[in-house]
Amino acid sequence: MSERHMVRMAEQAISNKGSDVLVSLGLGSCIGLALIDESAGVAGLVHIVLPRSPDSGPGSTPSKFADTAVPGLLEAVMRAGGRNGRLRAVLCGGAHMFGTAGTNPVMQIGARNAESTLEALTRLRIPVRAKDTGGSSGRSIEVNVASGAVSVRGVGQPSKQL
Amino acid sequence: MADVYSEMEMSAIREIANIGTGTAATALGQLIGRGIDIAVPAAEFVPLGEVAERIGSVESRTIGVFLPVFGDVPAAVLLVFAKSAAETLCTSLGCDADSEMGHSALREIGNILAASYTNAIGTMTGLQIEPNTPTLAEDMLGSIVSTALVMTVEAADSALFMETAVTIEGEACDFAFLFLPEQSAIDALLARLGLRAAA
Repeated sequence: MSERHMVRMAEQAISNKGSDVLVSLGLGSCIGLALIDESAGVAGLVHIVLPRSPDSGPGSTPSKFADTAVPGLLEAVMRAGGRNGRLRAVLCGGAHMFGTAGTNPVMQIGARNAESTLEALTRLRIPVRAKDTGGSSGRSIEVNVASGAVSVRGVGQPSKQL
Repeated sequence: MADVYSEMEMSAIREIANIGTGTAATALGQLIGRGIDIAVPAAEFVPLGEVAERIGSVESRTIGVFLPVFGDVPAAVLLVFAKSAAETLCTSLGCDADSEMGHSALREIGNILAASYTNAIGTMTGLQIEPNTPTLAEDMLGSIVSTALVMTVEAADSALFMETAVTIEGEACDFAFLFLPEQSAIDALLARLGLRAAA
């Protein structure tokens, strides 16, 4: 029986157990970022809420902010047996849920989340295997630790593999 | 942020929720021409990750109407309608919940509820509160709630969750009315009620 680990806003989960599935439900402007080492059978998933940590630092929730969540997830995945050169990233989310918001930067939070996450991945030299970001619809993401497979689905839609 | 407020301040916050919701329910009853009952509203600090779960099943299809609130009390109003509730309300107004007309009706309900709620708080405190134009999204409950939270609470780790259950003439109408004040808004409200030094 596989065990599903829910990763809610500003949380992360890491696993090297083949039977585990890491899940974030109902991503809107948030980002679900998975780091996967297929050959080691290790995966991590973080639910990023905001693009950048405040000047005062990320406080007790580094997983909340893209700039601290990505290095934090990398470190945790490596501790669980992942190897940096083999890691691949899969990300989804960053939607613009409430339309007609114009150019108000607060309303563009989804796009800024995606951008900041990709920047952090580039900085850490982690290749992106697949991404499904932007648009105006919410998503749920599931990461199968054993196979490294990632599926994404929207409301009332069949899931697709990333 | 949850521990920052004393029991007396939390009762004041609950009273604000109570008065706001009562006024909003009366306005909704007048709009749809039916009797509305509301439960005593919840007002508590909830960790961001748990807010959506408090309302319902995170992946269920819902309609969210979001209104930013400006002025002395920066906040947002979010209405979350289960599909069944959207249909009940739209039927009362003679339109179909899945049509553009239905969506306009739900946005208008958002307008009326937010305006009456914030007016009540404004009258009580003398603060200026202005709801902005509503926007609507039909999607997963979790996506709608988390996005609305991100747009209001920004750096905070918990949200002041003010929610109420609504019944229309004995028929449960599964929608949530959420008032999401920013930290500075909570402080402004408490200061005006004499419970906290003005910033």
